[in-house]
Amino acid sequence: MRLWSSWLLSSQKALSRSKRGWWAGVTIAMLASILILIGVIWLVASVTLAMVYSTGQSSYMTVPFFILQLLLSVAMIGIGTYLVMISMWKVSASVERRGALITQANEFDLLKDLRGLREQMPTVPTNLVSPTRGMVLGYRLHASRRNLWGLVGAAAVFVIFVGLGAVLVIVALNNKFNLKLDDYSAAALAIPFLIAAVWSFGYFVRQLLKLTSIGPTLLEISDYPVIPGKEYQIQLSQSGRLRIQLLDVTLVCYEEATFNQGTNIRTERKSVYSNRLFRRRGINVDSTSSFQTQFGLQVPDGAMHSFISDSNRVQWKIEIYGQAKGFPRVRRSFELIVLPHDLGPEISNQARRRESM
Amino acid sequence: MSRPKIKISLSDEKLAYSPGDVLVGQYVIDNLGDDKVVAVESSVIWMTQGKGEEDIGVQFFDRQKGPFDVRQLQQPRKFSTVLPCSPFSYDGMMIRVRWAVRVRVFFEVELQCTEELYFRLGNVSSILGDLSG
Repeated sequence: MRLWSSWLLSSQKALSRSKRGWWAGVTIAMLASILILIGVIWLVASVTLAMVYSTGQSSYMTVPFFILQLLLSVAMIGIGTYLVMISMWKVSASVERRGALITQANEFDLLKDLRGLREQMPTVPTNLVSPTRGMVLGYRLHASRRNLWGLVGAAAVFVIFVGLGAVLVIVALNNKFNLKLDDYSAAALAIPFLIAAVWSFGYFVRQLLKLTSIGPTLLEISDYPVIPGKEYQIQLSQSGRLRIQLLDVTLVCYEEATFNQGTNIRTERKSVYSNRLFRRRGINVDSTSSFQTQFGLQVPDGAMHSFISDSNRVQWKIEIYGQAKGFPRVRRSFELIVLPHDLGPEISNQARRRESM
Repeated sequence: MSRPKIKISLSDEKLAYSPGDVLVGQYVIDNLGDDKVVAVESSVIWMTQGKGEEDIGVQFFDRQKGPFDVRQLQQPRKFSTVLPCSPFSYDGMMIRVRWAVRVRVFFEVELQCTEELYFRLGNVSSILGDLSG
């Protein structure tokens, strides 16, 4: 196991140095997923077999053998999870951000400047992920973590279905070999779980590819938070994938309402404004340097500011759609804080003071 | 029981304000009949309307306890507050944010009477779709 994991790590290290760094990331993520899959099946199989043979008369499963299998399968799951997380981290965060987080040297909380404003604008959601200092423009925005949670959810569903499927298959096989009467019913019961397990594995891989197929997207903005009517520059930096078929950047405003429907609580979201900021087809990204471009952004004068209350929300986002050949379409969103456009004399002075700093 | 009349008015008679503006107004309660008023509440609030559950925020609140003399209630009662920077009045597709002055009169029996006067804060376009052309 140690050899296997060290081989994986060394191969990751070697590949990351090469021009095929992106392929290395995807390959490692895929191998890690397979490792988790084997680990889960092995773990479930070991536990089930131990339970089956503990009631039987066979001495096939000895205690040391069972513990060994348990340790190996848990180790496989652990190493696989670790490798997936490492791959995810490498893909989702830039080199600079990783460095900044490791050294804690570049911590920068823009919203500290907005504490005064926050008290005066309690319905403006100023508690979002803070931007950090930008390399080219003033502030670097950070993508929402929704996709990451999608992956975690997919992984959980995948593990549950694989576990259930494996148990039922083992029970069915055991019954078959012992010529029990209910073996066919157990096997029939196992089929939908196996189908679900295969589907959930496919879904998990799709989610993984969505996060890894296109490399990290860095977005920087000339000033922040955003005030309607004012013009801003956006710096887009895309790396990691050799050829991107389509890259599309849109400014979107959503209204989100939460309400009771019978005994359920539902949330409905509707896009109420959309403006394409940038679109290009056939981008060839050099593996040594990222694709970079700048374009303008303006939230329309007279637009509603970001708003949040218990059951209602107005949300502004920069959404990026990327499409690479043979991979699912990737969507990344960066939430913006949009302040009221007419701040009044006191707040305007605070904003001006901050701008002049 | 005769229905009491609550008349709310804003001193400058405008219904659109900017953040930081001072909202000054008054209210008069009339046509009370023999009903005894035990309390009067006046407030300046924002509320959401539309598809989602109704949310409410209170910018100003005042409660005056009785007993009141009828003549006393017929006299204008003033209120004032500095308007905040958010939320702006907004008429969206699913969400509507409205500002209002609300006066609620509580009677001795389990009855109450409410009157609202809506005004706008900020100058947000009614529907964002108009802005995208």
